[in-house]
Amino acid sequence: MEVVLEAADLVKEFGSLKVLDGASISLRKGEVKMLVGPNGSGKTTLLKCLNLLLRPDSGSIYLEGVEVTAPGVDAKLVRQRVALVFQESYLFSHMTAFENVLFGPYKVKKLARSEAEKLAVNALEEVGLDRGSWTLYPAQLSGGQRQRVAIARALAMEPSVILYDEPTSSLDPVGAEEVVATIVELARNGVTSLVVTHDVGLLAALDAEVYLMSKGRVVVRGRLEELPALAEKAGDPEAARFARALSLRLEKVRKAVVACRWTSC
Amino acid sequence: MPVDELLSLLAEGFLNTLALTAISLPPAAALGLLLGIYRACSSGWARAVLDAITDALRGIPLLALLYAFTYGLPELGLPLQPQAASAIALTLCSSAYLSEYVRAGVLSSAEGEILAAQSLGASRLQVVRYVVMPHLLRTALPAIANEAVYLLQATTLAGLVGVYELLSAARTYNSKYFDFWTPAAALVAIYAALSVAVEKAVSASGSLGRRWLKLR
Repeated sequence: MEVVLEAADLVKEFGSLKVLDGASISLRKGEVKMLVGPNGSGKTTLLKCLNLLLRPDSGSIYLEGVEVTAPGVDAKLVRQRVALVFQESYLFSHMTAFENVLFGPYKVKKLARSEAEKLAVNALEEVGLDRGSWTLYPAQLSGGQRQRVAIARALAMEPSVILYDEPTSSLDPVGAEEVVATIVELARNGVTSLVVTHDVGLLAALDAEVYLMSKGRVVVRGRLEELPALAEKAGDPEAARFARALSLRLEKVRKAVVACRWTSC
Repeated sequence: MPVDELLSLLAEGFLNTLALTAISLPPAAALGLLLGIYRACSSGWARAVLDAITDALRGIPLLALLYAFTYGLPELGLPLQPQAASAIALTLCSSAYLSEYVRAGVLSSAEGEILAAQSLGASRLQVVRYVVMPHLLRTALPAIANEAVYLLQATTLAGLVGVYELLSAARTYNSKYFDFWTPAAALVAIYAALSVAVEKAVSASGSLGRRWLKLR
């Protein structure tokens, strides 16, 4: 399968702090990958670099085979194709849900109004927001609805890939469940995604390959339960401890789900 | 009749005060918005220079600025009428203060939304037009209205450099008839009414602007 997004040896420093220290990832078309790591390991910075919101100090990023970190590439055009969904939804508070989604295709991509509206309608339907809420303002929506509108806003740009930055961690359990369902649905429909999360519910539901980040680099990758051993072998005990804690929690969630099925609760 | 004289004096002062406010306020608002947004959204040497200019303008007493423009500039070969000199000084001073409110307004309310718009690939101009401005017209409007009222009242200082505004008119009457309180009472009424009118005008143009900025 064709590689959609590839980053090699990204380095990003803020002053004397090296937040990314040679991070590399690769995503094929239609593929979903997860990205986990302790706080401060550089996950958010990596996503921001992939979207070119931040420019890496060195290393290269390829989007559909074209190097976008090369000089002369218009970052705005790259951002239109690499969507980013934030932890807080950051919806435009003075626009309705529909206008939030319309904004990208209509104003940023400058498509014809009718065409842009079609994209917005499709996107909102895809994230399953009930039509009654389309004309509501963000303040009138629940957390889960807001985050789904944010995902729709990303989808309406028809991006090559969607990057999620802890999309469920500021939500209550009900909202988180809505958003997990939406992300899983989109993943099934072949939306190429890179998901940063610590939400075991989301990890369990997507059940995808996981990148483990530590100290600014992707240390190892594999299934979540393999990560502790792999990290140990790679000589990063701190990352191993993190991975062990996360996979233990995942194990508990899986057992709970099985128990739930047996008792049909 | 002293009353007739009072009315004609106040009418003249009123017109001058109104003219000075009306000439200074729109450019001050425009400049303040531009400066504030630019300073909030950019970095680098251009911003450092603008920051320094803003700080300097806020650091100089308005009266000193008025003297500089009225008496200082002619010495440098740039003769200005008191009215024009005052308008420039008021505009600059007001826009410096406004830009601070605006900058704070942008940073406090819209940072996340600015990030979201940028991540979609919006240009700087689109971010300002569709995200920053609508925010400002809601969050920073009270501060802007406040500054507008302050500018109106600061026109009294222009009386000290030869603009025949309301307070000067009242003082003329006062020194001729040794009557302080009659013109003072009139001034209180006029300034209060004008302040309310200016605030309403700013709020109205704010909501007009919001409607105009809607996604269409």
